[in-house]
Amino acid sequence: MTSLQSSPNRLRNKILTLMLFLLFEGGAFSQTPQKVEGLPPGVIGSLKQVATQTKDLLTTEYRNLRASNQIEAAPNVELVKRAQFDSLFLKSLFLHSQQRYLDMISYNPCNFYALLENKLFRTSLGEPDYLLMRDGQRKFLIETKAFLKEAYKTKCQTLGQISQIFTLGTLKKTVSNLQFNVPKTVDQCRAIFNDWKTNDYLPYLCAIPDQIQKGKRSEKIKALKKDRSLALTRSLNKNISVAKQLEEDLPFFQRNYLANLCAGVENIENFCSPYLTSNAWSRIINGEIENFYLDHKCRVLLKKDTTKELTRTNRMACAKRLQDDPMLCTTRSTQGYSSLFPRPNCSLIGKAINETRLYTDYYDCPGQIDNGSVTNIHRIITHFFPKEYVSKPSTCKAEVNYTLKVLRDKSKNVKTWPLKICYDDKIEGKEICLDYIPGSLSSIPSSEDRIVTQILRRTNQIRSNQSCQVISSLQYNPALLEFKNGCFVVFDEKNCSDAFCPRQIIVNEEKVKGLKYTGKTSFDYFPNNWMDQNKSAVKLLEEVYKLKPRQLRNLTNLEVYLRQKPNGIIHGVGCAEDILPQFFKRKSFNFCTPIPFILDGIVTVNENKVLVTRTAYDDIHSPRLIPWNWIFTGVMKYQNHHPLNQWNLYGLSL
Amino acid sequence: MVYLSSLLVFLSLLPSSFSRELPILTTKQDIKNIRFISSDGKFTYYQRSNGSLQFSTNYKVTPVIKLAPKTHFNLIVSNEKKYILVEAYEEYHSYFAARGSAKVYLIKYGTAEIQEIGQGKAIGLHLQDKWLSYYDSFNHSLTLQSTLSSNLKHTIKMANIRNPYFIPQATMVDDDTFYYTDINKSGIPGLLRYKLNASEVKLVHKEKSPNQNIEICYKDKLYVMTYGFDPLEKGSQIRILDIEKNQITPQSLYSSQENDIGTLICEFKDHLFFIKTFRSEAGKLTYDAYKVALKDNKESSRVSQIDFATSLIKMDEMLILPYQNKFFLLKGENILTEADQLLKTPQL
Repeated sequence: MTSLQSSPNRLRNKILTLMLFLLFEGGAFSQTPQKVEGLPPGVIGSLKQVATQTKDLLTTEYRNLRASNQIEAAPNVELVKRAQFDSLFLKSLFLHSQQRYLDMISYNPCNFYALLENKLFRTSLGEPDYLLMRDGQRKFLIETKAFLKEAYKTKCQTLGQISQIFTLGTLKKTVSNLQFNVPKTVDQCRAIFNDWKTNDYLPYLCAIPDQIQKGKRSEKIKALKKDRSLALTRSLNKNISVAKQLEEDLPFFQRNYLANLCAGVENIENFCSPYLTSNAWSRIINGEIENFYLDHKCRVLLKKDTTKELTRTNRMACAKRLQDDPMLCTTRSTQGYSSLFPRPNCSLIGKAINETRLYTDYYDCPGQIDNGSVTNIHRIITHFFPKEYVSKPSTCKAEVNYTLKVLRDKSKNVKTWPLKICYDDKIEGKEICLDYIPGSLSSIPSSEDRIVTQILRRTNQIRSNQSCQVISSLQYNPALLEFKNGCFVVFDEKNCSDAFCPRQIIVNEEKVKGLKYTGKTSFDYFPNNWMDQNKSAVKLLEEVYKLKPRQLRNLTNLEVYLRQKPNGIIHGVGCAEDILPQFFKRKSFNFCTPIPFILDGIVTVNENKVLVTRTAYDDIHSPRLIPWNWIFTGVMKYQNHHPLNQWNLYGLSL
Repeated sequence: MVYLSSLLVFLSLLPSSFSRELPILTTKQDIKNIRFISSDGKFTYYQRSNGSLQFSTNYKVTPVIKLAPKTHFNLIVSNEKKYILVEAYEEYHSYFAARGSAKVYLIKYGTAEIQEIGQGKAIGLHLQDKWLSYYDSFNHSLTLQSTLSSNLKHTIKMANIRNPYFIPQATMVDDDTFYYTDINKSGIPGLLRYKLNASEVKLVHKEKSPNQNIEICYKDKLYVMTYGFDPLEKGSQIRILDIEKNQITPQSLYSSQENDIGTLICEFKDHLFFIKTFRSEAGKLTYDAYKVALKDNKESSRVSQIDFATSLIKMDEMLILPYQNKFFLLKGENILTEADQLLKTPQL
């Protein structure tokens, strides 16, 4: 990549750009008497002074011209041909515009007009809606749009037509007809980039990422600045709406490609490096792989709220951390979502993510779900029927269990739910048991907090307007006022799974007794006997979600299946001692700990074919690379113990 | 001369198993039901699909216990063969819980006499079968109990909160000294010593990183095997714990640049056995059984050639390598059949 380094000398470029533009304009700019004299060039302090003085002068010029009504709202073509840009205006424009846009003038002088049109230039007063020009000795302001309309009649005529195909209404179609070639080598990248440089559309295309960024900045300003003027609110709303429209119209890959391309104008490496790497994290930044494979890790690493979307800058900073310190993924980046520990390093996870396909835009917590089948079923259903979970450590357990409950509720063959909270109902005179989903998820009627509330209201232990909250013992602090009154189901977050979770129910600081948690989510994952086979989870997947299973016997079967079914995944059950032999040790004859797993990709590492694997005990965002032979042995060993001697490795697709 | 010496070096590097046929363990009854069979074939414990554990000797079958249908049993038998420690998973096929607990029972060896011990997993028999241990992963406690009296019991609270699937290793070297592994709150594994009389825990050895694993095995000496989980933190070694000084000797009995799989077995004379990771010149990784000599006149070498071995188990005097649906006998004789078979790397 070092061969790509252009390291432009910014000052030299600015001067060259200015000279080129002056040649193109044929001296069409005039000298404003220089009042910023005696400043040696190349000194930052002096440049700052120049900038400040230029801003003051420009502000005065604009104010005076507006006051004396020297504004050309409808200029004719003759005036536009005759008029010259004022040197003060140009100086300000060259000082405040981004280098990458100024560089575009050197590719094609017409780009000056296109950049003006697309609002990619700035002066010290912001985007120039009005241009400061001179006609002989007369100075005046001219509306940018009106100026360009007339200018295109005599110069750079094609831009007039290009403008038509880059309006908000036409842009989607225009961009979809363009070729966004992804380079594979340095030479290819240079050639592709050079093609873009000479493309007349370049300033129009670069306006797209610029407008999206502008929309994001406007959202922030809107959130921060509450006492804003009506005009500012309108302007911010417009920016936000344009950005949203662009994000809706253009696929993520194209938006990212354009962001890289426009960043590459200044330094070609900005464009090439994301494409000339097999690194998954870079490919995610680049839009080739979905963001969520990175985002959930990064939110934990960067301590960002799960509800907040990460910015491109956040992602780039996080990706760099994962790349520079690959061991980070082995112990960190999954805080609050317990799973098999330690996890693979970031480099191995990256290799797996290059080939993965499982939808994982959520977090789950295998360490809080004892039966691995529940986690596996949740992952399978969510892959084929994605849901946008705002997963939190406090809700992940409920989300996973709820998926299983919905599957059972929708099935004709299984209707009962095993997890219940029981209490003595004095009115009914008997024990009543209600279904519950462990944890807290307010959107679910059978969520534990809602069921406990229902029971305690029924037994008059809380008022009808009181509700219970499920919280961890870390959160519960009776010394605080907020815990003096109210109802809390307190669990030990370090030791609470669905099968074992000692809880205390506390109402107004008093422990409440009489509620009994019962049941386990026991069920057949694959059929264990012929009579009840329709009650097994895989049969329910087929019945309720129409997922078609195909038995896979060997590696060739797997390779063909994954190739033929772009959204297909593979699931199975095998012995943990063979699939994860570093973690699980076989201690006696015919010892086998069954472990459900999902396979969704094949990679060659160290000359071995390894499978992208998420066992039900693994962190969902840390897939492991496991040799096919280990998976094969694991499945075969479990087959030997299986009541029906069944080979449990299946592809699943819709 | 150069060619000859090169050839000799090459031959000396070849694993001894190249020239050896590994027999496959075969049994008269369905091997998948067997949970323990003595080397001489006189005692067999096997399970049935109705949830029962059976004991068979001299053509006589005695039921040991009957639990829920499809219960899965794991049986641990030490060299002493005084007792058999049993884990019973009643919902084995309908509740895949690696951190779940089993019912723990103790059987008098060679009989059907059984007593219930408690709930747990990671069971072990220690010190001539005078003690047993099991781990309760829900309460994070390791229980050490006398096989003679259930009143003689010690419960050690574990520190691990990082890995819900952690399974401790445990062994006992004398009536007062128990060693076990644990993980601290940062995820770093350590070897600890528990003194029974003083009820005192002391850290003996701590690894440098959470990406390391520790296995221990006691047979006259306490062998400590450490290896990495991650290819970026590679290396394995076996060292001895100096019990008197309570520290690991700096010299290694064995070391490797790769992360081995482990499953250390130390109960055989002359050699330690485990699954070693091999790397070819081209970088291809393979995994096979390996033996490390404990005496100078013995050799250390690869003892299998299946490339993807995952585990080793000791059953009475047999050392068995389970692979796919076969059980290769690395030590001991297959007295139940003459039908030994050639070992080949399976073509998948």
